[in-house]
Amino acid sequence: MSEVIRQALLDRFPGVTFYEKAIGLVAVVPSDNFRDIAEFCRDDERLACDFLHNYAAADFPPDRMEVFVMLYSYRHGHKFTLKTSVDRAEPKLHSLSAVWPAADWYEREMFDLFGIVFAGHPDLRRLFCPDYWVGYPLRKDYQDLRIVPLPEVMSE
Amino acid sequence: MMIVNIGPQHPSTHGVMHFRLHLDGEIIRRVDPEVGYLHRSIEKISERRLYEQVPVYCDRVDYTCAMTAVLGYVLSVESLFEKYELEVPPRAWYIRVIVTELQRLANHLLWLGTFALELGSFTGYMYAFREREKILDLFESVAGERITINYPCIGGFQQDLPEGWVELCRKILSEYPRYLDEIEDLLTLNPILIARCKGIGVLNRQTAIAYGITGPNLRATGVKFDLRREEPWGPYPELDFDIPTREEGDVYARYLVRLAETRQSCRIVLQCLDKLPEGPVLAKLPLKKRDISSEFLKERGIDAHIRTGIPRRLCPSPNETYRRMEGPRGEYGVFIISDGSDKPYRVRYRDNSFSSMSAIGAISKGHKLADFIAIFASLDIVAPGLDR
Repeated sequence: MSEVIRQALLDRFPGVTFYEKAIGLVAVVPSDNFRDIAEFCRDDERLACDFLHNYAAADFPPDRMEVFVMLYSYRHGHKFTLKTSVDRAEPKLHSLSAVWPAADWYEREMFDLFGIVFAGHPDLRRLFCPDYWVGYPLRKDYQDLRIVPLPEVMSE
Repeated sequence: MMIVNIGPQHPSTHGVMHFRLHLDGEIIRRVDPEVGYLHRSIEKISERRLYEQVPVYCDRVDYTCAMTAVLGYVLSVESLFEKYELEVPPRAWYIRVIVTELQRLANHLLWLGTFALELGSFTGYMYAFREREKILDLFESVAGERITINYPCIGGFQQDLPEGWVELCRKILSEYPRYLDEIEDLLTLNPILIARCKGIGVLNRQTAIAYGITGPNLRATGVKFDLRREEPWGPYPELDFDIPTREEGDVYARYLVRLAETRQSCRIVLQCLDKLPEGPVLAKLPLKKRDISSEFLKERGIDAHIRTGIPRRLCPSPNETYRRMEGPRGEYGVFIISDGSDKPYRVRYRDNSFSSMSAIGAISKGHKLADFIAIFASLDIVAPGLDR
């Protein structure tokens, strides 16, 4: 199953690398043709990923943020993850909301909490935080004066 | 075009949610949901807590089905380890299934009660909540809590079921089908319900899949997909149950699917109660000794050779995981990135309320204002899963 996915992606986009962890198969793709690869995953016969079931980001200071797109195919019953890295100073990606409408709100959430700007998104505004909020809460260096530091615990 | 606000304080919204409806007379032209009123930054908090301390926050991620919410996180953490490192005993797996299916039953009864109430049937609400009370009493006797339950823990359970719980559970569930028939007599063929629900809020298969909707909402559109069969955990492969589906995809179909699911849950729990093995309920966890470094102790003026208690904590090796399970609302999964320390690096809770909410504009366009309440009630969206 993962062989089919690997072959299908490598045939069309030779620069994709793969690794396998507890999450399953992860395809590491460059962020430039992120949207083309996503569309290929949806339209190609061997992949046929019609279900975007999770779309999350993680902050890895000081240089990058990683975005995970978890896809599943109802037709073939296989799932895998697309992973891409964005530059942390100016995080930009192309939006996937035209490929899967589910991506719409996930991207708004990532813009709200991480500050990743999705080009081509129909309505990119904050989702959870109010409109006047400054800063991106889920980043590792987010400072908020209202957060009280935890008392020191006996650990490293 | 008139803009009408529903919420954030409104008796019909399941939690604090705000909708801005653009109305043309009574027809809805556009729905703008505004969420975030219940955003408690649980994901950020989880990054600053130990793995064992996070489940207390997990039951707040979805407080109407707390057992499955905690269990989703626990299953994800356990998948970070290899099979040989962390083996959950069989009795714990069976109790997990029992507790999950009871929670599904309790959640669907809550949904049924509020659905009936919003359409105007107070009796339906009372009947459903009468049944739900019995299940919440069972939860209270096993975990001490009715709603924000923190019973499953990493490796199983801290405490076994109390004495007499199995017999009481069996008694309640063997009477349940009769009470469900009573509720169905009241609601299912009721002409008011049928007029308000049949043909309303039709969600077709492609739209549901494209918007990422799972669970009973998806099964009501005809896709026979259940994560209990696709990615099973524990004893699910050996249990005998059906997956109810309907073809129409309207509000009435979603109502019928959820009712049928409660009957199946009842069946699953009774099978598990019969098959429940004896034994321990907590696995031996692969805790790592965390030595306190000598600089740390010197800074605080403590003699380096005196060990003042070595904390032993769960430290999974660097890994990424996403383990999904069939919660009462649909796919519930927790995405965890671990970095080798005793705290998770990134925790992301995936809940179906989020996906259903993003689709509500597409589903309710062209319907009347009164239908919006019926559509929204049928999608089973709750604010905690939406905002986290």
